Amino acid sequence: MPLDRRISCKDLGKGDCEGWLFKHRDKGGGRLSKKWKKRWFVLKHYDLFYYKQQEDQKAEGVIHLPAFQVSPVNATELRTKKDAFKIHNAGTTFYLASDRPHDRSKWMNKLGLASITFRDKNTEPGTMQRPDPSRFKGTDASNEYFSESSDDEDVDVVPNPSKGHDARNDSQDDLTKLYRNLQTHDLSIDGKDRNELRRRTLSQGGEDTLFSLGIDKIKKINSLQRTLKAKEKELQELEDLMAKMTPEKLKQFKEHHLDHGSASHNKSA
Amino acid sequence: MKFVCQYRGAHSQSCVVTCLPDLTIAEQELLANIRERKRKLIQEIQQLKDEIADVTSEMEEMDIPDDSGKNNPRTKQMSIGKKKFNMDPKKGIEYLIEHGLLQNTPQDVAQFLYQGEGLNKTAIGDYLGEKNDFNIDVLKAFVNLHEFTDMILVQALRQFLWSFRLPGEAQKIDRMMECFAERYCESNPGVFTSTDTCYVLSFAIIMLNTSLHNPSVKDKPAVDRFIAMNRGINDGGDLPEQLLISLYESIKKEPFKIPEDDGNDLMHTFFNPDKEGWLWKQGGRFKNWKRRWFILNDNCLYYFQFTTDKEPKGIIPLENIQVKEVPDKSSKPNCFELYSTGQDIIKACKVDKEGKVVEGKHNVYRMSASTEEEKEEWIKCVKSCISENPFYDMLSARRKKAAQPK
Repeated sequence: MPLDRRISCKDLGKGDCEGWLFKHRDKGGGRLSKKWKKRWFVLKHYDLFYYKQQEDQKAEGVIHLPAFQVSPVNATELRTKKDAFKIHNAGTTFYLASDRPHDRSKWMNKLGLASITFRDKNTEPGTMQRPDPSRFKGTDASNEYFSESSDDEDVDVVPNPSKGHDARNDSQDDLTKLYRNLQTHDLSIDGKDRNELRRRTLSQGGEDTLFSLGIDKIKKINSLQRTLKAKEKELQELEDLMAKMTPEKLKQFKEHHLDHGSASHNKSA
Repeated sequence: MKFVCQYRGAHSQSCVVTCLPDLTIAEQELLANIRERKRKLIQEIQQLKDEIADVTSEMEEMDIPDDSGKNNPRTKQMSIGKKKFNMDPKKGIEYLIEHGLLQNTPQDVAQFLYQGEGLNKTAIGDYLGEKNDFNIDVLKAFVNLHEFTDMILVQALRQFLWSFRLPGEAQKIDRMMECFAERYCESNPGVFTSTDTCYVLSFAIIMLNTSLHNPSVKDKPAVDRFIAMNRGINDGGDLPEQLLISLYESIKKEPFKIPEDDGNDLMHTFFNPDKEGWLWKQGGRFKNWKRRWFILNDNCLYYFQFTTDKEPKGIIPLENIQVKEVPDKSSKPNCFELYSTGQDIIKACKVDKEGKVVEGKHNVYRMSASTEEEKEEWIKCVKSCISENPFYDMLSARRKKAAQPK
């Protein structure tokens, strides 16, 4: 069942645990999203919803906890917040932190239980089908087991200067932001539109100018060299096979070869 | 039964294979097929080599400069060398050195690139960015040919960025900007306390230029933000405000002139790839397997449907991506997977059935290699291409260094 975050905070109702937490998501190494965002978190059964505001009609994100582990975070892993913890699996890490240190143990406890699909007798029985948590162990299930608003709203928003921040960090952030803005639009630092560049590479040559004729020739040479390489590789494989032939190898080769009948004959140039 | 097989290859080598007794008729047939395939391959390879030679010389003959050129062998060789350079910079330089038109010294090659007549600026950037001792020496010599004395930084950057097209890879840009900063500081002692300061400020200026003048960037920093972002980079101290304001005003008034892309910007990447070969790729929506020729280069994976295709079928930029092996449970052996560490869908594009360029639909790309070793090799190569946001790391490390009081 896909995770649906189109549910208003009100309709979601009272959670098994709720409150404000700071959130910070590790995106591609995590170096870029240094900003902590304050969000309203609601734990409902085994899913953790979060909203920008309690009035919101749609959750900003939802995390299906059985696909994740909940662990404390030490100070060397994350310097910007004390008392943080994380919800993570092989592919994704969400960092969470609370203003009050004792909140951390409360949240970690509740989320940890939800991640092993443990149900407290006192809470009402859940309505959702519980997946077997062992299925998620060690697998990278990130994509199916959380859903998050994809619009990167934080890019053009100036971070609230909090008290602890010194001016140098802010100015580092500003340079970072400049870079991030370019990155969001897929621009290189000197303004090349990389998306456009890739698209152009894929599309076939345009008008027949002398110039594009030259490009076409380069492409032709390119494709011939590529084909040559492919054929040389294939020849090498055949030679290797002949040099040390066993019935097993022959059988393997047959399977491999019959599998891709198209392998050897390319569309002719 | 002793089974002997002989064949004559392209290099007229021969091999004797002893086979095991229980070779069935089917197996013998297969063996005969393999031998036939081999014979054909050798033939095809020769044909391809001939064709490459033909097309190459066709291209060299194209567009030879006026009549005098046709009669003067050296002018003709020079023209051929330049064309080769524009296609494959390394080969072009080799050709010119071989024919005595260039001396095999960094100084001479740098001079040739600096004059740049008839040279493609993308190719110049590619050559200068290469990471081997000779090319790095050429880069240094090239930068030192620029005269920056008594020029404000923006002016020096204008000149520098016009002389070639910046390549895409962060490490290459890093080396180039490092050289630039050194040269600028050497020509203008006393302006900055260290080359790191000059380096970081140069980056800030280049990005400011793009932010101010590229229509798709909505967030246009004002001068005070520009001043703020460069706070403390002069060995912990601030640069004179008046200097920053004048740099800002200069950029605002007149954008950098960046050499045009001549339409083959990404094409060079197919000449010297990091790795290439056949892989099976599983579909995004339909989980069928297709055999594709993959090329890994410049932090991107390109794939072709047929090796003879001129344009790739798809491009997967290796940004916010990780690679891992997949246990051999799936329908194909030797699998590995690319998965996204950011958004759910991997940012990629491909050509669809109608020939339109569309966004990819993959959460993961699953590939299957022909052997275990091939799989390992691919994973290794892809991994070395993915340094997590190298550009950002590079800049922020340098900025920290520049902000340290000495």
